[in-house]
Parts: sequence; structure tokens; C-alpha cells
Amino acid sequence: MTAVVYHIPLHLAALYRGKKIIVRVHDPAELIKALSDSDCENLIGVQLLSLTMDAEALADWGYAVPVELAMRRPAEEFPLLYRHAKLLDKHPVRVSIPVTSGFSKSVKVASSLRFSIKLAVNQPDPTVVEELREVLAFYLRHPSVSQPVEYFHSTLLSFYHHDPITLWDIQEEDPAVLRYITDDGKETVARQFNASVSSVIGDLGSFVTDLKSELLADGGECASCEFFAHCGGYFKWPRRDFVCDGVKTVFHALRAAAGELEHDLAAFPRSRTGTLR
Amino acid sequence: MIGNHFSLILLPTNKCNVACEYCFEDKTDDFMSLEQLSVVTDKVLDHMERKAIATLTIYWQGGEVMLLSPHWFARAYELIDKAAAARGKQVRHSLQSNMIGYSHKWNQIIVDMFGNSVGTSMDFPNLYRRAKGRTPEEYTTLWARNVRAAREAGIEVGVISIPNKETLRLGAERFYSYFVDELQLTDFQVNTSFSGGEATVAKRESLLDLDGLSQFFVDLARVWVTRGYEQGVKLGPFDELMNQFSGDPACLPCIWRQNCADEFVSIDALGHVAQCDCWVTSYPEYWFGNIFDDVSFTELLQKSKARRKFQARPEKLMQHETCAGCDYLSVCHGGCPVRTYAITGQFFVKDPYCQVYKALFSTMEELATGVAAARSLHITKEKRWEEVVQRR
Repeated sequence: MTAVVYHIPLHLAALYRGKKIIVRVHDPAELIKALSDSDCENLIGVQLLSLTMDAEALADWGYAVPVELAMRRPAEEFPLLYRHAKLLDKHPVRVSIPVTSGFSKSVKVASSLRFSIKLAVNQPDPTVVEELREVLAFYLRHPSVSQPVEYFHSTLLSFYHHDPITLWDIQEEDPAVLRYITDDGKETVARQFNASVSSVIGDLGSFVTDLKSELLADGGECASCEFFAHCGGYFKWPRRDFVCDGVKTVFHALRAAAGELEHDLAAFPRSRTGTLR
Repeated sequence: MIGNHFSLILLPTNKCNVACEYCFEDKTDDFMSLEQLSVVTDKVLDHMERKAIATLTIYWQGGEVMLLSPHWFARAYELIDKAAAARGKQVRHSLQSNMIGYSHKWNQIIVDMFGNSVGTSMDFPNLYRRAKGRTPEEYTTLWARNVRAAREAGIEVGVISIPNKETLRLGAERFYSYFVDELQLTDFQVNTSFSGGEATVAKRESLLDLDGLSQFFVDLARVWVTRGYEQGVKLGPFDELMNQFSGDPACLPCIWRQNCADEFVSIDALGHVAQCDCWVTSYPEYWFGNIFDDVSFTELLQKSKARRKFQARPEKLMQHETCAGCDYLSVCHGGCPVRTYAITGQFFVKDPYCQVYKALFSTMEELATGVAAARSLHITKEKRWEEVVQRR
């Protein structure tokens, strides 16, 4: 069984010594000052909460630890990504981008700088679903895209391999695997952009399993949804009344793209039997 | 700068042996001594240790580097090699010369130190390159003779060329033919002009009509794909754009990197440090400092206000220009600061060659797609490139 990873604020690092941790911090210099070499042995990753801080200290930190840049206002903050591009020389870096109005600029800039991207999609407002579809088209078709854009990338592969993985796993939000520790020390689900993040009741270890069972037993939208195996009720939390019409169109497009890819790759060996080298 | 590799454009002399009319450099008669080179080497290696940088490439330029002797370079090579080895660092060397001072005496050091390769420059037709009191034709004759001799000695010669008003009039086919058919070169690169330094008629003339320059680049791309790509002719930056748009690893030129301030610096013979050779020789107000001052190289770079402007430039462009919405952001990032500053007098605006770049990017993207399509369409090898180009 895989050990649970704890997503902690830096000031709680001492309490989680010996456990697998992702540390979130505003100032990278504080992180480097605070963590000992033995702390770093269990350090799975670092999340930078501020894009305005100087990241040079982290770039010179020799641990090659994965770094996530957490954006808050993607419609405004996208120019700041340039300050962090140099981190890629020494660390795997992912940008977490909340799916809010205007977020597509951040996706384009992050992608052009060759950052991996995680879309913090949560329960997207219907007004941004069209922008989400545009970003999907950009991910699927634009030749400059060379790094994964999640959740699209793993869902596409999941359709392609006919091997469903739920968004809880792709988005790293299943608390059975990754537990978010709030600044005041409470364990919860890792949707840090959601105001109701601390409202989980019950056993976090079985949170997703329980939610899925409840959603199917309810006989609501999930019970008849063709994408439930790929979603796992992700979009029905925390608000169960969320209407999935918009996000289903994204699943449709991803499934179609996987089919297209499968078709193209099946045709490829035949095209290689011609006169070309 | 904080990656695993560091690039240094080193000018061991600010002096030159020719007087090209469009040269951007404010030349002096200064040379760097071996003692000074030793200081530069130690300070750069200190910086690499502090920043955990493993490898260094030194791009030797001038002025004109061949005004120093092969013997000086042999001693410089030994000095740098020994210092780097003591720190566990690796150093590669690259040579850029106008080749006017070349003779067979350079062959051994070019083999030993520079991997048997040298970069040089020539335009077609040559309007502005000349020695003092001599004509461009005389310069071209001497240059071609020396390049031929170097190639006969087995040295690989790469050429940088800047299109001028006559280049555009003669067209891409003639330009390509000069370098590949007449000179039999298989490695050359086309740059846009940079009109830094004191204003001259030649510099004003070198700023070409952007529509005409765009068309020239587009035409040249097609000529190259038809005649050179499959035959192994390297034409920069077209070849790297072909890699880029084909999904292969690409090494794009510095003008299109995300931020040149993260990639390299330049040091001249007097120790002035600036972003690149263009800045160090043309714009003293943009010097980062002097490496011979009593301060570490790391601190010099960290504290430089001028360097901070370079670091901030792409961010400012994303805020105020249309770059963030551009389809080609990933291969341009707003373009070259020195071209921008030289032409517009401003720093935080996008490269004025934007239109030319976009025309080239879209053409190379089409051609790369066409190449891939041709492969899947079973076009015979002989016909493939012609059809790809004609279809566009």
C-alpha cells in the first residue's frame, strides 16, 4: 500500500517529520532555510503560493525536487510565469491554473515556457466552459504544446488505453492518497481554491469510494453518465447540484480525440510500407 | 545563468582589422592579457561553482580574434583547461572570425581548441564589408580565398549572412545559389540586421522594408526545403524551426529564447560585462559592471540594475504587447532586445522584426506539415520536396 502524502504549510513541517510531504510556501528562501537534509528525504514536492517572490534561491537549491507554481488570478498573473521559467533547468515544474475567466492566457504562456500544467478545474462556472473547450483544442491541436495539460492529458490516455482513471487520481485530490493539511492543521481534500475545503465529514480514507457509492445510489446524473468511470463523481463535490452538461462536452471531445489518435496510429504502419525511408 | 550550462561571449580584443560600414561596435585598440584572462576564468568558475553549473561554452569573438596569435590562444586554452579541470568543470570553445587574418598557422589551434570548426560572416552581395581604403569586392575575394583554404585544410566553416537591399532585389534563389553552389558551403545562417552604435548611411540602408524582407525569408525557406534540406544543407534558423515544427529537439537562436538574460553574458577586452557582444560594444549605459572590479561575478550579475531590465523584459511584453495571444509565442517570446532597442530606442516593446518572424514561422510550420504529409502520401523521394513546396 502506498503511504499517504501530506500537503502541508511550511510551519507544520516539524509535525510531519518522517512522513511523505509536499510543502507549500510563499517564499522559497524560507523553505530552504527551514528544511534540513533529512526533511528533504521525504519531500515529494514544493508548492509555491506566490509568483511574485524571487525563485532564484530555489533554482540554486540542488534537490531537483518537483515544484508546483500555484496561480490565483490567472487572467492577470500570466506574465509572472517568466520569472520562474529558469526553474526548469533544475526542477520539474508544473503550473496549477484555476479555471476561472481569462485563464487561457496563463495556459498559453505556461505552455510556451514548457511548463507542465494542471488545471484546477473544481466545479467550473458555466461561463468558463467555452474557454475550457478552447484550451482543450489548444492542447489537442496546437503544435507548440509539448508538455501535459492535466486533466486533459491523462484522461486522453485513459480513453486511448481503454483504462479508466478518475479525475480524483489525475487531479491528485483523493484524500486516501494525498491529504491536504490546512494552515490550522486540519486534514481535508486537496482543493485548495475552494472555500468549502474544510467541510469534509467522515473518513478521508474512503472519501472518494463513499462519494461514488452515494452518487450512484442517488440515481441522479451520475447513475446514467457514460463518463462516470473517468470522472468518479469529481464534479459533484462539494456541490451535488452541479450540472455536468458543460464538462461532459469536454469528455466527449477527449474521447473523440483518443479515437482519432487510435485510428491514425493504426493506419501509420500501412503508410510506412511505401517508397519513403 | 542558473541552469546547468553557462555561455560566455568573450571578446579578447576590441580591435578589428577591417572597417565594415554597418558595424555596430565602438572599437578600441584594447587586448586582454593572459593574466587578465586568468582573472576572468577564475571569476567565471567561481560563479559556476556557486550556481552548481557544470559546463561552460566560450564564444570567442572580437573585434577580430585573429588579431591575437595562435600562440596566445594555445596558452589561453591551456590556462582555461587547467583551471576548469581543477574545479571539475567542462569548457567548450567556439570561434567567430572574419577570416581576413586567417593563414595555415591557425589550423592546429582550430583543431585543438575549436573542434576544427570556425564561424565567419559574409553577405551576398557584399555592400558594406571592406578593409580601410579597399572595396567590398576586394574584401570578398580575400575572404573567399581564405575560407577556401580553411576548408581545404579540413576546417568546417559556417557563415552568417545579413540580407541587404541588393539581396532582396536579387532574390532568394540567387542568394542560396551563391553560398551553396558557388562557395559550396553546407552550413550558413541568415540574420536580420542590427543597427547599433553610431548612425551611418549603411546602417540606415540596412533597415530593410519589412514586407520585402518577409518575402525573402519565405522564398528562401522554400528554396532550402526544395534544394537543401534533404541534401544535408544546414540553413539557420530555418533548420531549427523545421525541427521545432516537426516536434524534434530544436536549438533556436538567442533572439527567440525565453529570456537571453538566463542564458549568457558577454565580456569585452576591458572587462566590461553586458548581455551580449552587441550590448557590450555599443551601449555602455547597459553594462552590468566590470569583471575586474573588486566584486564576485555572481554579485556583479545579481546587483546589476541593467541586467534586471533584461530579466524583466519578457514579463513586461506579456503585459503590454500582444505577444501572449500570439500563436508563435513559444518560439519567439517577443524577440531580441538589442534589435528592439537599436531600431525603436525603447526596451520594453516587442522586436520590430515581428512581422518578418511571423511570416517565417508560419511558412516553416506549413513546410514541416507538408514534409510530414509528403511522407505519408508516398511521394517518391525525388519528387517529394518539389511537390511539398508547390502545394503551398
